[in-house]
Amino acid sequence: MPAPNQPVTMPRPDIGENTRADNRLGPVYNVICWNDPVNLMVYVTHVFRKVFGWDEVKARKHMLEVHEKGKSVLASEGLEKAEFYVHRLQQYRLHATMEPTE
Amino acid sequence: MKRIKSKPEVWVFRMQAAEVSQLKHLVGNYPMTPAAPAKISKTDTGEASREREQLLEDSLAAHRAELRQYTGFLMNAKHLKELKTCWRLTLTHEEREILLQMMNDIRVGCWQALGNPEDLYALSASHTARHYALVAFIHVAGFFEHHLIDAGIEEG
Repeated sequence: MPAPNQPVTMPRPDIGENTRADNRLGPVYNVICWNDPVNLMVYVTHVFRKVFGWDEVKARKHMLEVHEKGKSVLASEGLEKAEFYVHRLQQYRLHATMEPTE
Repeated sequence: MKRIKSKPEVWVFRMQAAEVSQLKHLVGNYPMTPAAPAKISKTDTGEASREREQLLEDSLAAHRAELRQYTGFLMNAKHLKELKTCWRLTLTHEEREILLQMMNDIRVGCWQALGNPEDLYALSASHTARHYALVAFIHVAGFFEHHLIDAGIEEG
């Protein structure tokens, strides 16, 4: 038995693979926003906030990544949700695509 | 164009006659450019991806048609009113969002009509009056975008 101040390792809960609430049941897509010379930086930040519900700091971080590195992965989702995000982003006229992760 | 603070969720702008004229021209001629082919993926080119691309194009066309329905509404006397020395534009949160999307659609559409140039300021002997008109629309739409977004930031 460990001393009172020693950390204790708890046994891992038994969660079956098929009960995980993630995207392992189907292919996963990266939702990517690409840089272009026409969309204004303030507009891109505004759209990220609207579409993903992010705060100004997070939206601006991704906007700067798009601007400086040419692209930013905004989300990794299953088919339907990735498709939904790409539709929304393109409705705002951002250059966004969904790319399979494997 | 300058925002005048007023009730929450409603934005009121003071505008000069020249700005109103430009805004009316842009909104009145929306969408200005035809829809460009949409691409949903750069790497996935299978049959399923082509079907998804068609769905995307349909969705974008429907969205544009929806925005188009607001062109007359946004510029009517309820929203745009002439005062003694200037004009007043009043927009709800949703209307501001619609106008913002329209302006950006014009910007991107004109840029695509120019052939997606990296440098908007590059000059060429082959440039026509149409080319310079499209560049001007990009800048004017950007002017309105800036003011509409700044209004949102102030409110936030």
